[in-house]
Amino acid sequence: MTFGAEVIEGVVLCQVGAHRLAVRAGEVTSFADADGSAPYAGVGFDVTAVSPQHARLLRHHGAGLVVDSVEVNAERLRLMPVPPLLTSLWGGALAGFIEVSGHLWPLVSLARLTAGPEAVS
Amino acid sequence: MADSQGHLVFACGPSLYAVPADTASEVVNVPSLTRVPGAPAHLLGVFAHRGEVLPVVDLTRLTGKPLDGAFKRAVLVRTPRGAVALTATKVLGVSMLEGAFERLGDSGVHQHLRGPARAAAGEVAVIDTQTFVDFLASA
Repeated sequence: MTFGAEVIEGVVLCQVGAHRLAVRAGEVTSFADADGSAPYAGVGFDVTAVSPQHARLLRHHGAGLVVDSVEVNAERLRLMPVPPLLTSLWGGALAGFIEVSGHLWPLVSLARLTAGPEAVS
Repeated sequence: MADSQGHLVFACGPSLYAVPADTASEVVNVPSLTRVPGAPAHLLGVFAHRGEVLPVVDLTRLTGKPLDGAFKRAVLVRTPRGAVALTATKVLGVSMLEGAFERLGDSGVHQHLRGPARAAAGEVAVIDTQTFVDFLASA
């Protein structure tokens, strides 16, 4: 682990179609079945919801985000910074990248993502 | 006009490109990429390299000549605005270029390509790496 790198603990690993997404577990106020009240994270990857009956809603206070599946990871993980080229993507919601099981996962800020209607598009 | 600094020349599909040799830090094999939500089509994804997350930009999509098939290699370019890996189908090495270094267009990515310059392998579009990365950040 690189000296001085930010370390985070407790993330929710999400599958969105064939893609990966992570959020800090502390940002999720509750999990629920998707009910159509929140946007599907697939819009960020140009994919449509495959099986809405299995989709999960990550609630962040009054807002939320729908993903296809979730898994909580409690490991301590090094947070790699967002490359400068990517800082404005998805309404500036990218918070960094983590590496889990040999794969890179974009970590997004649910608070930022659900703050405005322009964020998830 | 003669090139005074040397450029790394590489092919991406049918076109040849060049970047100033002092901005090209290495040529990397591109592993499986992670897609980034909200990314435009020319941003193929990211990968981790020596502890750093690198975005991979597909030059063929940016220039409107998309190629099918995965890119195996990329030229890693470093600028004060960050690093970016540019897709390459073949890397030809460092050359001193001849010819012009004028803008090749007035809009889109072409504003950041200069030429027509010539290398031994043929006509080359020279990427103005400083403005190109700014363009990518705003695209």
